[in-house]
Amino acid sequence: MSDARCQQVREGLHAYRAGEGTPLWRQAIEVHLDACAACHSERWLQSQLEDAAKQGPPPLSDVRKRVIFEGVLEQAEAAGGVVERVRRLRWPQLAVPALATAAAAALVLWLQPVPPSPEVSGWMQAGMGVEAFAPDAAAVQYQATAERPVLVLDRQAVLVRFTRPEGVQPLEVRTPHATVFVRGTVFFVDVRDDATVVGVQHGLVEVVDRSGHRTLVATRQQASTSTSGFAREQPSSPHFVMLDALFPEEQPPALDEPVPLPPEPAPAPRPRPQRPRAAPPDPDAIAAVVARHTHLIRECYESALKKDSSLAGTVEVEVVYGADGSVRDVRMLGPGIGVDEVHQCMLRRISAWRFPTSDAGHVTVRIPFVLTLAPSRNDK
Amino acid sequence: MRDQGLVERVQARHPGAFEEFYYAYVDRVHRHLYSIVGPDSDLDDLVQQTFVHVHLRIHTFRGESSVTTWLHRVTVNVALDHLRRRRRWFRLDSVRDQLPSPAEPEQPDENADRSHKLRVLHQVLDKLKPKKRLVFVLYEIEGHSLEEIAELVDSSVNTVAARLRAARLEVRQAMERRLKLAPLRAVGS
Repeated sequence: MSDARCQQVREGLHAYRAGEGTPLWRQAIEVHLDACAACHSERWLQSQLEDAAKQGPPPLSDVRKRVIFEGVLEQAEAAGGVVERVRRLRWPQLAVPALATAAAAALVLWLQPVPPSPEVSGWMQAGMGVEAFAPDAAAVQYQATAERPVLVLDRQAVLVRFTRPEGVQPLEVRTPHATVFVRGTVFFVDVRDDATVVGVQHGLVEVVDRSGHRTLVATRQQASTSTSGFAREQPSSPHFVMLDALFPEEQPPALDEPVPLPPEPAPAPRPRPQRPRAAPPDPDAIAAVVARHTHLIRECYESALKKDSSLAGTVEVEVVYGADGSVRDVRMLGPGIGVDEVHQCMLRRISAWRFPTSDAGHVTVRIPFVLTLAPSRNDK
Repeated sequence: MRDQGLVERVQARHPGAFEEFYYAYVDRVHRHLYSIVGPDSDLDDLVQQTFVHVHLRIHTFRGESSVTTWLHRVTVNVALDHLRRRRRWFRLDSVRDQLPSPAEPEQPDENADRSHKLRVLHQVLDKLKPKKRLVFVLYEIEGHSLEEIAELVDSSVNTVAARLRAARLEVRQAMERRLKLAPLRAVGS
């Protein structure tokens, strides 16, 4: 087979697979494909693409469509609300780069700053790494010991970014219904008449209610206190949109894009110094960390199996760890296996793992845990 | 015409018009997103983001293109953003082998083989840079012409063609490696 003929055939495959061409031309293509393994594999690749084209997603159920639609309305409404609230802030106190929510930012650009309304209190730079925004400042008190920052909130909401400095204890936010412990994250606490709602934009917080129930709330999760522990909720609070606008998430550097080179100090004929590219994370090293800890995940799963022996499924978890290997954030992706106790147990344990150090900055890894009852040896 | 009337009612904020628009297009948006980003646990979120964008920006639609083209462009932008963010993730697939004995249901060989190959294809697509992947998917899977793609991604036809050539080469080579196909370069034997 000549290269030129193969080239011709490959260029014609697109039309061939679309059913185009004369019968003679199509027959010539087929004869070539029968005789040429390389072109045959090209044809095979194209048939895979056809398969992929036919393979649509599982259809959206009516319920999912409805849930998405309600989410659209809430998010769109909240984005409009944020614009109005940001407009009312005192601009010098608002870090302009913080307006990252695209919809809000686009609209805010043409809004004129106005003097603050008396009821708008805005920002509290409390120190010890706490930046807080409360629509009603009188609702929040900052009480700190030498080592621990504490916010006390008796009504309304506070939106907080806490970046824990060296030697400082975790932040506590105390409400009439619960205490929230925070090691370093962006979150809100909303005190309502009969419950406290906690939502996390980025990071992980622990909440303990007045009866001693504990739960973890991770990125893009929302939970509220209830009479029998905690209730998980859809992360639909408008405070999430406000958090996005006030504390935009810093993007970790892309792992697979070239690191920008520093500017050349002076024109010189010497070769441009190359900054070494950050090494990508080693999958084997990460897998080894996971493998070392699988017994912990298994314990979470097995404790729930005692109540429901048919429990099985996949729990996908997203972990963000820093250059030092410590976990910065861990959250569930998808519905998991539908047992919150198992999910919380897994998240709690994973948050204590130590991943390999990395010179690539933050690393985000998605780990699907397949939880299935192992067949006993006697079954084989 | 029906679409144009519907869009005008959405723009005029007629009660129920946005809901009608959503239900008229949600399946199409869902399918487009799937073909661009592949199987992804965030697919529902992407559908939601697309329609939030539509809700906030529908007043900017001036009817210079068809509403489906405009919507497709919004969808493509949402998908592209997502792909860019997703390239910063790192997915660990091997963990399932470490965990308590996943007893996978047996599938007929042909189906298993087919779904394996499709999985490999999606993994290969995941390795492409977002813009290359987008062009590749729009051309090879969705069947758009180079001109249509150029309009959708706001680039020149030449740029789109160059990205497509590069993407095709990368996909072929990766598929050869992953599935041990006859190497496509070794022609002339």
